[in-house]
Amino acid sequence: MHWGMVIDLRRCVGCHACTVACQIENNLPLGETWNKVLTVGPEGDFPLLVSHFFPRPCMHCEDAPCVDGCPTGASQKRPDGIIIVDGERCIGCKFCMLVCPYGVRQFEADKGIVQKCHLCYERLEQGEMPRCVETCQLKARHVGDLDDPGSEVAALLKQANARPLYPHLGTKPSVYYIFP
Amino acid sequence: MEDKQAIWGRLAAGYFFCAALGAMVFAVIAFLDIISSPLDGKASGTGSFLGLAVAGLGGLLLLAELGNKKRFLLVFSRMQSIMTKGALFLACFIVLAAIYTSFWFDIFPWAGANAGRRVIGFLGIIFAVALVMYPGLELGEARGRSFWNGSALVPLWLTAALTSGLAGVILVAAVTGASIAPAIALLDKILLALIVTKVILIAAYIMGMRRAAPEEARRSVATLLSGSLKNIFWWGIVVCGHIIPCFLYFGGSGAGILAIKSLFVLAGEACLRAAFLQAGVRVSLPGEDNEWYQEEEIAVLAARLEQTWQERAAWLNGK
Amino acid sequence: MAGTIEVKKAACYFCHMNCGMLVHVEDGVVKKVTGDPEHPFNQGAQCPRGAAAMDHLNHINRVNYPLKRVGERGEGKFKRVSWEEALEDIATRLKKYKEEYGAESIATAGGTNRTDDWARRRFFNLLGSPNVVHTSPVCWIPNFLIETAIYGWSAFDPEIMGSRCVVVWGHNPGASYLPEMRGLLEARENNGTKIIVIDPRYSETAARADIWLPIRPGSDCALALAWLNVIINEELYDADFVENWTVGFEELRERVQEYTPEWAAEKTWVPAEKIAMAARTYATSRPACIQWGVATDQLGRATSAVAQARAVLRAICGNLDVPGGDVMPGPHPTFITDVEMELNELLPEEQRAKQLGADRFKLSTWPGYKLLNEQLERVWGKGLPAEWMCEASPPVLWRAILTGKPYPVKALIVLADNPLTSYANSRLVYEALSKLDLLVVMDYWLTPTALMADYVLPAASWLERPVLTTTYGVSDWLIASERAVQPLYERKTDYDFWRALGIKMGQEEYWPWLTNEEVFQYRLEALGYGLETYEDFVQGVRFDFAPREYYKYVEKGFATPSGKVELKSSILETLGYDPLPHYVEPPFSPEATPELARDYPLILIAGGGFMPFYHSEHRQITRLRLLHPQPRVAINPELAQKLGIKEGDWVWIETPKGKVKQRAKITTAIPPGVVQAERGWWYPEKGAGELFGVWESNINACLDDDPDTCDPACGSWCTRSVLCRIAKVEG
Ligand code: SF4
Ligand code: SF4
Ligand code: SF4
Repeated sequence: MHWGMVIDLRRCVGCHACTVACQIENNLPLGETWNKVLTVGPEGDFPLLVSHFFPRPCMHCEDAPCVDGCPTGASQKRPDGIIIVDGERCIGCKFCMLVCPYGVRQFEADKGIVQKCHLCYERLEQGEMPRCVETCQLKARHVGDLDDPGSEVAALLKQANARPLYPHLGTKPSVYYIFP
Repeated sequence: MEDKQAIWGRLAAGYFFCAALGAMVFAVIAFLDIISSPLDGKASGTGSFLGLAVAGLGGLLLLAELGNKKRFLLVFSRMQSIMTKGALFLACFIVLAAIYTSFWFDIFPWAGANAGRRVIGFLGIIFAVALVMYPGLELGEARGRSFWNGSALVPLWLTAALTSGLAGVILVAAVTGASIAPAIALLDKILLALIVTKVILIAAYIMGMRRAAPEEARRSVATLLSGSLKNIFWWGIVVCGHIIPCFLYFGGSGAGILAIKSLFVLAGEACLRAAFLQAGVRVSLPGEDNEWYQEEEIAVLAARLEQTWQERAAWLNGK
Repeated sequence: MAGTIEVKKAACYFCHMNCGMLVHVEDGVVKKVTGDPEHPFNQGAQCPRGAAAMDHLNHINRVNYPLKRVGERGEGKFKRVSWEEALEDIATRLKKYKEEYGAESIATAGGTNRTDDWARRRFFNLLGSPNVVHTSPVCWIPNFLIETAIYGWSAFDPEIMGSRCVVVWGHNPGASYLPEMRGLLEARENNGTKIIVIDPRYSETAARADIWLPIRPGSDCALALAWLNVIINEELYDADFVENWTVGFEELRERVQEYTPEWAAEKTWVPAEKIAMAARTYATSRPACIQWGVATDQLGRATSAVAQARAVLRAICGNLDVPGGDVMPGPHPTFITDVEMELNELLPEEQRAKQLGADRFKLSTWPGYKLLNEQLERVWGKGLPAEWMCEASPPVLWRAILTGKPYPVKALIVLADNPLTSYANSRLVYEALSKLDLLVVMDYWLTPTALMADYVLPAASWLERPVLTTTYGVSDWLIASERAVQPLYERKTDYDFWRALGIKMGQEEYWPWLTNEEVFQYRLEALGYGLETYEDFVQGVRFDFAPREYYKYVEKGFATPSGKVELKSSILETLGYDPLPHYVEPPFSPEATPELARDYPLILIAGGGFMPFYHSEHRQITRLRLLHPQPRVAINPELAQKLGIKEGDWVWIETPKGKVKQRAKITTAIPPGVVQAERGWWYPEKGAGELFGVWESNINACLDDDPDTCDPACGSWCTRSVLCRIAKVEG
């Protein structure tokens, strides 16, 4: 079992619903964002342009620098591949924030700990989709078992131009993007 | 897009500086002690105490940087983590340095120039070196911040730490009146050599990063040379840390000159840590260049809006 | 009630989509709002507004009690009063104005959705005033009415899923109607549907197009006419359909000869070959459809000409009412539609004649409405609602309030609307509002308009009210949704308000239904499900889509005087308009107003939807606001460089009507001679003294609504092609 996400950038329109739904689902303090959505472009000269949007949850790296670096073991990888932070163990040293190449991790000043997207593992355990996947009007986000060749995500990865962000960093993300 | 690395801020820079300074002041004194080229006892005692104190202060800064200080002991939980290793080095160093220092003070029964002092001094040196080397490796672990390259950062930071250690010892000697000791004159020459070496190392580092493939490394260099860190780089590191001390070598070796020179070197060192720490920007995400607001700005805005709604609520629906 | 957990099937009113929502209610308290997976539009999803619905429900700045003005108008001094006191006083004053100045001295302005508009019209018909306005002239209505004049209903239900080519014209579902955008992309993925996007700006939707035609703002009419030219001259039209089901084709052929692609290239800035290529793609990929887009309703005097040319395009290409084409749903046959609730028949002829603007904007007022409905009732059995489709002209209304001509207007009731940000020429609107004797505003928030009111009344939002989605009664389906909770505090639905006010005005016998649910139940009974209550209907039925029929004209004929598609429209001719497609240049452009263009050389697009806001709404929902804290004006890098403007700089946008500032978004998404400013901006966090910053960035303050520049048939003012200049804000 290896949970992963495929985000279809050909579909995303940058509406930020996923951002907002995630904030509400996880009861985040105002201003904290686990799932950022960025605007890429337009690049080129009018009218020969390209642009797309880029949602960024946690990449749930298989070789996760944040887990490697964590001095307390608060950041951990679950057997199903999901990277979580145990808020009870986190001392707020922020080293994981420094080593995450994707700018994922957020410091919660009031609690003094680091938090981030946990792929809604509790929802997944109950057979529900992550909130951001559920809320996407464009159905740009897909979640599933990367190990299962029959899963929707595996199929998506096969048929299209899918790759993770910055594979050269060697983090082996579990989040893939289908680039336009 | 990060315009500066802001996750580890001043406290962390202060920690790196203090740890390096304290460790290397200690190391120089213990080393001279071991090779029996003793400084004046007063200078050694004060120096190793100061080394201990400065490293201890660094430890406190590190603690202050933690979000959740009550749980700080958990930092020793995972030996695979370089953070844990670093914390361990710091802790061991502080214990050893404390014991070592006690040998210089007569109130302790074991005080005096005995073998015990040298053994402890030797062990202390090992941890002191570890303590100044690991931060380079630690920062080097940030794969998305190519400006921090472990194998280049370690020699640079080691040299820099040694520089500050020497400057620290010279400063202590100058203040305690031990500056005429022959050892000091030698240290002063080594210091010059280190300053020159460091110029070369920094220049090579920056040139290398400027040509590096990753975009963020080039951005880091630009930030240092001409961006938001340009003052601290040119005035702090280059002028204070290197040019002025070099000029001061023409001013003779009076205690006053030595002290001033050391202070400039130390200021330069502090700037080096701060600048290099802040310069380590993260690789940008696709589209991050289109972002208008930094996370802190959003937090401030959120607080301001919420505050306004509170005030408005009283006016609107209050009785 | 203790310990009960219910999941209510509600519908979101934050935009027209009315997405279905599941609301988890615990002991009468809303705990969670998620998308309803069974709902055909959103299929379980939400946009950011819907996702943040609880923030809206519980926001501490919602208006919760009736407020009465105690200071000077606009000073922001209110005191809380009871509903009874407010309604009593409002009714007394309305009676007085009616007596002294006639019922027409009382007007009302409404907003886009969020309300049961028929209830308002019912009240006004009973009151005897024809002066009901919306932003209807710039939103959907011109297209709807022109199409109805030509082929007897609007073909507004394009069947994208079965289409081979979809033309998205002046529309950006990628930022406004997300479920629609999904439909588009899925159609392409599944069926290879071609997507043609016509937009001056490289929008979210244009970025996904197969063919993007970046026309000069406002030149849509030229493009449509050139398409007609290509399609007719290359004989790409549906000859059978044209032969059997249209009148006026020969005159059309003759008329469009002058509109060659080369001619259009000059007007539109799009190369002639590209125009022709797109025309061929559209005409040869049948079935094809053209989606409605709001931008073409906002072209001032060019508005209905665009709609006319486009309607004719649809018809001659044989796409009307075919599977995968532009389906004309017609009204729902059985349930009681909006028009049947309005009591239009009770408005006396002499009052109809007084409708402001009816003397010049004849299609969108009583004269046109009457002609259209005669045909519609004959063929469909039902006509169009008067709400939206038969309204006074807002620009004429403001002027009447200000000048007392042609007669005095003393009172205005505003619901779900913020005229200071949503109508052109905001300063004029402001002066008009200042001059009223009575301004009543029912809203969720203390908006800039509400700040000027004599009474601010607390409105219930969609979580606090049932919603019956009927597209104003012009489509053949409906979706029923329930309230999640009873209105909090003293908030009321608009129905409750009109009913209560109606009773105070002596209309009691016409308001027999106590609640929204009761009246909805009454409207649904004829569907024959035999259910006791509205809630039963929602839980058990919810969706009622009349069986889809195509080619309805074969049996019914088209609802026009000739029974055919009138390429040469007799209704338009009767009303005194050009019956054939023709070119009209928008009122402000380098071509139309060269002197103006000397001082104001840039073309301003004022508007265009963007997430996460809807019109002027949601600026006070902190979570949403943080996604987009400040207004942005899009400027091409070349232009920015010339003017020394950098990314994020505050920039003045100035027209002869006024100047406002927004922050520069430097982007190649628009060409150098054009800038695009965001709409609807005000700052709820700013002081009441400055009307919540309504003059700072509200682009409507820069627009003109001079009736002479408006569309002659529908009174549309111009927002999408305005002349302006920009400059960096110094200091
Ligand atoms: S909800 Fe979907 S379409 Fe909207 S930003 Fe997120 S991924 Fe993109
Ligand atoms: S994306 Fe960052 S936070 Fe997430 S697993 Fe990878 S390194 Fe850790
Ligand atoms: S998976 Fe869950 S926690 Fe992660 S971004 Fe999506 S909603 Fe947020």
